[in-house]
Amino acid sequence: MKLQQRMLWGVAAAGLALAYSYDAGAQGEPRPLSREEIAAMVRDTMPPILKSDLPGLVDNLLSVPLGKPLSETFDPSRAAGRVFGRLPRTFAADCLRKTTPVGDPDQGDCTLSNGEEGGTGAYTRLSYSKNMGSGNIKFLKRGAVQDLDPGKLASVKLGDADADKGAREFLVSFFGLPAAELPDLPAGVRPPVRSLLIGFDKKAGLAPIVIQKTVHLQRSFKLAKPIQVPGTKQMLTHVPGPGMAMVALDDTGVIGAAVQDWQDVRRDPRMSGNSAKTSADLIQEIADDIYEEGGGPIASMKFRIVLGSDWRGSHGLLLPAVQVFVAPVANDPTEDQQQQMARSTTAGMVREYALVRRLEGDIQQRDPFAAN
Amino acid sequence: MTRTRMRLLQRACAAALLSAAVAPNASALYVEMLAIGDFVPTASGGCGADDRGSWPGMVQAWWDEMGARGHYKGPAGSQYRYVNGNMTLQRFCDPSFNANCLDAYPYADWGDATIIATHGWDAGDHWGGVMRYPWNGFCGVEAGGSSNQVRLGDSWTVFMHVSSCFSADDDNLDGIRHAMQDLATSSTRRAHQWDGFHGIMWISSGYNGNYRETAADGHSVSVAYSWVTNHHKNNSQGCEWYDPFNWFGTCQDQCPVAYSIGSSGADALTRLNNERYNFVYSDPTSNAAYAYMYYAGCNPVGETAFNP
Repeated sequence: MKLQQRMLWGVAAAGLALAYSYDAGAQGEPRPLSREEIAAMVRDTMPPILKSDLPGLVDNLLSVPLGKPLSETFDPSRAAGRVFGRLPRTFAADCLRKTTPVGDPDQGDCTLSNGEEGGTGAYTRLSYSKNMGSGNIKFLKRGAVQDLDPGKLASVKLGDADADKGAREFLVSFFGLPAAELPDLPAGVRPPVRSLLIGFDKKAGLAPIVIQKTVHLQRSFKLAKPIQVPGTKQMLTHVPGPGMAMVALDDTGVIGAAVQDWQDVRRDPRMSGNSAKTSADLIQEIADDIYEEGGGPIASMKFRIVLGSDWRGSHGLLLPAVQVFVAPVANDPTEDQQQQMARSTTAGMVREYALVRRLEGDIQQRDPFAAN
Repeated sequence: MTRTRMRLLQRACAAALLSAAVAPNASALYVEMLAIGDFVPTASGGCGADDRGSWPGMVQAWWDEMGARGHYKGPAGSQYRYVNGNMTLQRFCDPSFNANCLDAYPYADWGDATIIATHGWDAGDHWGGVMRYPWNGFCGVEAGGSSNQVRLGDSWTVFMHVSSCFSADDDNLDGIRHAMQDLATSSTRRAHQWDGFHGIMWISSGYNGNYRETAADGHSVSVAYSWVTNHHKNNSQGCEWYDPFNWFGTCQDQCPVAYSIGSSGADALTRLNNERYNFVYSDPTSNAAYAYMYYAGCNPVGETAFNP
């Protein structure tokens, strides 16, 4: 751990040395970083594996075991049975249309509902991709419009562990998500559960109310060969894949859920480690892209190795990639430091870069993170 | 009759008198977007700040979905979509600040539901947003708290979505309501909701779907719930490379906040919990109270964990 900490401090120091500080005399626009300075920062902060063995990493990523696709496991009747129970449900008229007028798979959703969406009554909706290769499912529910009294609302008491368990069971049993793509948490790790609250101005003297628990689950794939963090015993054992799931629960159980972009993915038989970019090319590509946005400021640069998807209309092809998170501001600035950011760059930037070379004609339009 | 329906009738009559343009459906909101993705260097006479090329596309995903839901994006050839261009304070400020301000028509306070996108900062007790060019010496727009530049709702705004860093910081919540009314021009008209972020937010074309879903879901469930649940990024931003799932606690959040005003805590709560793009109450009778929706302990880059 000490070696890792020393390594991380060194990286942070290099990053800070390269990032420019705010000049009170030129408020709003410090000196931008040069392309070379950005490239140096990319090289210094990127995961070692991206510099030491890109081809091996690409092969490793392409070897992950894949769960059964939602197009095979999602059962609309089962999902609707859980969502609506004994409530009648109305199918939207276009649910029967599976293709566009030119014969392509319809990328829209089929929506079932109970109640009037625009009304004041209770309303429940289940929407799912007509082409389930897209991997979108949404369950929303609201109560009837009524005046609320904060003094009479009780906070949800559901514990985080129970929420996590309930969410996973729901997603697997009723939405058909493959359990293997929802990794078990290592021992001692808190479940990915947050409390959603409503708060009030302090003068009101009202305590915040927990209205639900939400569980956030990122699709993941287990690496055949875990990647060791140099100098430590820590291992990267799973990588994120295309797809996110969120489940909302209260003390009655699951009251909402969303699965987004949990695409059917397949391997591209033409792709292997031999398709990998060189590290130098990858570094330059990332640096050029960041430079073209203005060159900084950059308070931190973080990387995430992922399996993306090259969308092909009914399914995606696995695409080894790296996401880069560029934050222009420090993690916890003081209030004075925040005010010094006046008229400066503050929004973070997230970009995704393929780890493999692709022919221009192979790059499909639905590559959501592709650099603009 | 709700305020929105009444104003739509007024607009429809005005439109009929002025031109042969088709008036929008009586239940449609006027929807507007003002976004900067291409900032102008100070050396070129602009206000500086780095580009974020994907940003206009993100908020356009919201605007387009609202249009697909039947809301009114403006007349053909002159839609309520303002990207880059001469984006200055003049488009956001209220005439009570400067008589030449144009928020009432056709800019920030013209839409019933408006989204703006720009770099932001915490200006003490309120939010500030970077503009492309200076106007009367001002390179930013400031809203809420002690600032007197922005006064929404005295014209048309019901829902104001602020895709901008620090636009709903935990220490500035008390001041947001001051930007949601203008007692100098109206004692009865007010904005209903302000939605923003605590700390920084993140720009990516991969996040367009969050904005599209905000628009879609905000017709089935409350706008507040839709904003917060669709924009929350849970322990997934800026993680160390070996910790993509936050098992080692290295990740940060993106922290959306939805905020409603009312005459009392109960009134603000009721509005926050119930108002949708297709279900709008009449204007709050005061901004005396507010309620807000958030995730406990949300910890973004640029701020400490949400703790008002």
